[in-house]
Amino acid sequence: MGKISIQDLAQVLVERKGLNKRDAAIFASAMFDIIQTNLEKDKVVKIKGLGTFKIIDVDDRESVNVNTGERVLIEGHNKITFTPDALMKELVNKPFSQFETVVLNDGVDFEDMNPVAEPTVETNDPNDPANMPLVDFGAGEEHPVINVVDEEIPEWVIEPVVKAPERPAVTEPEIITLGEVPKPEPEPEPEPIVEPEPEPIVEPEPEPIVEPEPIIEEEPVVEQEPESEPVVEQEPESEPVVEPEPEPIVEPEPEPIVEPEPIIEEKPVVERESEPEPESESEPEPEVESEPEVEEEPEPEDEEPETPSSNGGNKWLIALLACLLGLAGGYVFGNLFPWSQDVKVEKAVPATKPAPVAEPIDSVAPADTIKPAPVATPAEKPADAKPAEAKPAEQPAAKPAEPKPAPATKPAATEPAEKPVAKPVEQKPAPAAKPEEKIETTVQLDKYQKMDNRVRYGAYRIVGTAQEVKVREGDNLKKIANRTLGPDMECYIEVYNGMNSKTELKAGQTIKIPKLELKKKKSQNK
Amino acid sequence: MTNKDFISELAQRTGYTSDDTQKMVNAIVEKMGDHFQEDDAVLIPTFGTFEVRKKLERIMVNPSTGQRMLVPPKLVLTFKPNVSWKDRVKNGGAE
Repeated sequence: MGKISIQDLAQVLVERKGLNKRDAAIFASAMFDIIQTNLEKDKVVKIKGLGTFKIIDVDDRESVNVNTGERVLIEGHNKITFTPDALMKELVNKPFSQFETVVLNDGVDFEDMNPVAEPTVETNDPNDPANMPLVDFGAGEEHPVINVVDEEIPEWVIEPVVKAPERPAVTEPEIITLGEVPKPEPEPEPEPIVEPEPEPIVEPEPEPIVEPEPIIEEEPVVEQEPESEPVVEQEPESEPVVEPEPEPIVEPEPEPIVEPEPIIEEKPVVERESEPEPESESEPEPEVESEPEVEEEPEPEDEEPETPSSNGGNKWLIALLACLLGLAGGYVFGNLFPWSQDVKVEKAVPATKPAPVAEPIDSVAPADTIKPAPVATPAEKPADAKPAEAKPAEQPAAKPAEPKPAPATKPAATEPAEKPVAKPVEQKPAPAAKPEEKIETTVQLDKYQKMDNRVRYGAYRIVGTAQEVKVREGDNLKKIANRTLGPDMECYIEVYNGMNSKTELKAGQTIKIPKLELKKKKSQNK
Repeated sequence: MTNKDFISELAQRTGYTSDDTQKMVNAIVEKMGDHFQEDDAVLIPTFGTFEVRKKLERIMVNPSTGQRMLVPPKLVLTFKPNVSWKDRVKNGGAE
């Protein structure tokens, strides 16, 4: 860091303006001399391009002598201040100009990085927290499983909150497709019925193209397995509905005709297996645990043995399913492979899970995708809750299946543990590839996030309309936002009304003011 | 004192037209800016020192909303007046 004297400054006049050295030096010193004298006279001097010098009064204030601890009165005095001109400020800050002030979500400290990364792996997880109430029901029924579930839930919950902007990544893309096709509105109420249908259609298309889907399917499977049994969170909703239609969905891609029938049968089969054959149940568990280490290949093998026991006639179907799973696993594996070994491990786990359950998994998977959507909208929740209640009743019949839930839950538990490790690795790929897909996703509310980065990374999410405001003469969005939501909140209004900052308002026009909700209520630091 | 006043007084004192004066002032300010970008300090005897300081990033809380913001690090131009001038001003030398 060098030091430049006034002579160096004068030099520039010599070079550019052709002054001789002496005149240049005189000019430069005169310049600062004038600033000085006029500053003392006028108290303020503005120099274009440089900044503003001011003399300000400082009031008396008390202070403490650091050495003696005595209180000291500092008398009021005048002080010279300098405020750089905006141009100069920018110029000086050029090296750091790419940085912008970022709004921190509550509870995010220095661990911000990790939560962000998770979206890829977790896709299913974010949904879980929303379903948590449902989970409780299941938990009540199944004691052994419950603990595991509870533990998992808290983790998930935390993560989704932090991620809020990005989390939708994997899961949402699917959801979106589903939601869009069938019409999001009907979903909440009839969820079971409506969703299954749309799914079959949607999935076939995306799978070939998008790799993430295979992943999603597998993961959902894991969760749903538990569901099919009473325990898992999502189960309650998905079970009744899912069984009949969901499978068709999966199958339609490979084999439209054959599978639909088997599906219905198969589920019962699975349950039976669990009931009559404790061994079969026990098998799934050990497999699941061991499998996490093993990669996808083992899966198909596992599936086959189980299925035959359940239904000899369905062998063909089972074999097909196994093949499908294997392919899906291959997709997933291929996708994940480049990222990191950690990722592989995680994915391997989900893949393993499906194996024991094999058929049910596929059916379940669609259900999972469906559910995430309901979670997002509050209105839908009630609907979810009902199915959950209904299921418990059904579950008694399925109780024999309980042993299975345990295995299912275990895999889930293992996943969360692994995720933290994988997060850092995943971070980069996840945000880059999936954010867009996420945005479109499910709930209409989320769509606003996509529309504007400020909303996506803002502290609030739009949950509805709070009020409608008429535009007054001379109003603009910013003024309206200041009146209604507060400063710097105009982005929410812009997005909610499909406008941008350049949209011109007419007096008398009605503007909807969105109702906002803190993305993370948990910790609002004050 | 505005920039215009400043230029006209400077022009008067140095004998250039106010146009030329403005150009020369701009040249000097530009030159200073170049130095600031290279992290150089500019010392003006009897006037003071212009210096570029780095401010570290920090977390700021909006007191009304409780919203926390991460303010990025930045470079800021500071001016430290010459001590003798500062003391003169401090003791009411301005009046």
